Amino acid sequence: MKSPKTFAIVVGAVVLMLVGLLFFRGPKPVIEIKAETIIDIGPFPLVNTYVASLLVVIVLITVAFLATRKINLIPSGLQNVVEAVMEALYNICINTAGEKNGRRFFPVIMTIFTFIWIANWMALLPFFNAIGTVEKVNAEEFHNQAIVFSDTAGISLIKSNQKLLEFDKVKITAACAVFETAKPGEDAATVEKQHESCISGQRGLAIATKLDQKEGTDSGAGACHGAPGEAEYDECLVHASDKAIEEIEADGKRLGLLVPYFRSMNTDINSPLSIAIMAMIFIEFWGITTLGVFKYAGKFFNVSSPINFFVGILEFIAELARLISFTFRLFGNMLAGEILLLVMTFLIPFLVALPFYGLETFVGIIQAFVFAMLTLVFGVLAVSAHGDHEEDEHGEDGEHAPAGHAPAAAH
Amino acid sequence: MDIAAILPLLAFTDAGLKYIGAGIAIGLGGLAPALAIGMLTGKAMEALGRNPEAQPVIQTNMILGIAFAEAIAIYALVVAVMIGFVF
Repeated sequence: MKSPKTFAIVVGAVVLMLVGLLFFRGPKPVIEIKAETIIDIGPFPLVNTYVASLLVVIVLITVAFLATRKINLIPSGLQNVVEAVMEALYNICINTAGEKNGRRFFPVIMTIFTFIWIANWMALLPFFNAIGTVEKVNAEEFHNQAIVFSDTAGISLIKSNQKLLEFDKVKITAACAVFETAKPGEDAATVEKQHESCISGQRGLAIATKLDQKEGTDSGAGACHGAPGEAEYDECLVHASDKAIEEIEADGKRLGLLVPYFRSMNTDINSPLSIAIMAMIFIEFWGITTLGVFKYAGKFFNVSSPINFFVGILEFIAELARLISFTFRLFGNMLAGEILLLVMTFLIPFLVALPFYGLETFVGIIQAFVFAMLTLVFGVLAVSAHGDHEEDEHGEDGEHAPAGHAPAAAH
Repeated sequence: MDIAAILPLLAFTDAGLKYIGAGIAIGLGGLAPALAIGMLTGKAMEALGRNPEAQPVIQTNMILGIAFAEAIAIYALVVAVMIGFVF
């Protein structure tokens, strides 16, 4: 080490990581791909990713309002920042699509970019994925996993060193496989009832044994005698699990899974899909309004020659594939980032997650930019007539646009 | 117990195969994008060496290309995560 100061910092960091590793490890992260429902409003479930997207909209509207409240010719402060971002993207738009189309495409491109960008960055704020309600676990409302929370002052906290309880779902279904289908000569309704009773009994058994092992409760599940499927035995097991859960609740703890109020918007596949659908609708709209319905449709259904016909069909499939690749690119990147941060925080609680936060800020803006850029490029492809002169047009655009734009940039 | 009763249980309880599948999915799925990203960056650096003035254009296009290549790895990751946590 060069200086004692650097040495002290390095030693301090290592000690901090070791302390975190030994004493502050949280439970194994629970990875949920489906967005969690916070509350059901009539037939519509209000999911946490939607709440987060509403938050993004509120932030964007507030920023837009504040930036445009009093507009000066010489921008300063917030107006300056917003103008700089818009101008950067506007220049790219003009350079790629040319003056006329660039101005047409710009509002949509900018909306997509800012919406995804702010959503991705907001997902890195500390209250995302951290505060929420606890969805309880018992023999009826069963999950395959559960964490014991300590319940202090009305806030559910994950106790450090708390292990995740995993219940063997396969074992439960296997134990009740006998009742899945009625054998000849048996009453179907009775067998179905037996199956239900067996499943809840086995779930109760799983919860009771896990809690007895890990939390030291006395459920009395061992005192139940009988075979799975017998009503009395199953009821006894459910009672045992209820008793164990009551016992840990008396200690001020809760058994369940955290349902956060906020979760990164793009980790739910529905949001990237809806943005992608919107983008594709705009792309088709631009194509049709520029070329006309028949000429645009001629790109996909071309009967001039067998080869062109086949190419048209391929183009059509590629058009649909864009939707899927749009969706999965954004969804996958954001989900992967979330999982990466979770796992890193789980492995070593302090410091190690920091560089990954840096990576995620980068990925967040890059993915927003990629989404916007692809919409722009597909838009340019849609408005250009098909055939051989497509490439020439690109070359022209590339050469003309900067030259045409130079005076605007200078002034 | 006869064999017919055990077989379905065996097929269901062999959860290890599931994780092997997930590992293979992301392992092979990450291979090609890794090559692609390496090639892209290498060529971009070559281009930069020849023409340093074109840096902004090259960089933007490189990052776009990388994002495309990376998307393939991300698809594999989504599949792996689904195998691991959903099914």
